[in-house]
Amino acid sequence: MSFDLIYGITTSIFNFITFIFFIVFWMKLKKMDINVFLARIFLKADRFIAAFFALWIAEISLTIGYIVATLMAIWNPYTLIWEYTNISVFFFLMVFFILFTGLYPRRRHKMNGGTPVQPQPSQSVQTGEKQQ
Amino acid sequence: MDIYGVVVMSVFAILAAVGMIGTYLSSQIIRILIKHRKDNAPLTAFLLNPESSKHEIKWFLFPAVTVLLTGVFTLAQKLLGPISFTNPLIAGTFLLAYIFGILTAMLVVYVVYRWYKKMKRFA
Repeated sequence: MSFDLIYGITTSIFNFITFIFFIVFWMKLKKMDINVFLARIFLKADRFIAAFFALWIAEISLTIGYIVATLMAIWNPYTLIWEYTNISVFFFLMVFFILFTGLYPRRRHKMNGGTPVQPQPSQSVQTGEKQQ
Repeated sequence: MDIYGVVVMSVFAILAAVGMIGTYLSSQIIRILIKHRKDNAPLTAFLLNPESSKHEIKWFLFPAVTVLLTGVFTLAQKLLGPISFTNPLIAGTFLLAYIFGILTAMLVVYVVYRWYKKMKRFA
């Protein structure tokens, strides 16, 4: 199994996961209230910062990898170093999208987009009914 | 150096330049977010403008679609076999993978620039 084929399979898996996460997130965003998502990124600001940190690592690896590839292409245009760069970039882009959408790790509370909460019968009412 | 080498080198140089701009913008965003770690002022601004925030989030749809197309054409080209510019199918998938890859990098940097513009006043 050549490295070319491994590179193709790996990047396509990463890109497919990226796309699936964003599409699922977008379809949820159309249904739910946008304020719920914004409140969530406000409350979990650490995850938001971590998402942009992943994007920063992706951009750093893009820059360094392609500067090295440009310099190597002067002597050998058939260099494969850009494939290693692409794997790193697409992996961190996937991490960015996963953290940004907030679909994984799973949240504790379900977002129901501002639907009214059903009133719970209180304990005193139930005991009162039993006494009658 | 032949014509193939020149084309490859210019593509690599474009991607390196795009990466430099993206590095600067994303590092500025991280700096602004960490600076306002206590009060979360940039995120409060997002919270108070839900309509424009939704518009900004929707922009990420374009890189998400182009990144999928990059993956599809990369896998197709690798499964079809080694590069040969005489075969139109292999040459087409190879070139489309390149084009969508460059488009993805540019779109991500453009969307990050839009986010940076919204956070700039907190810097």
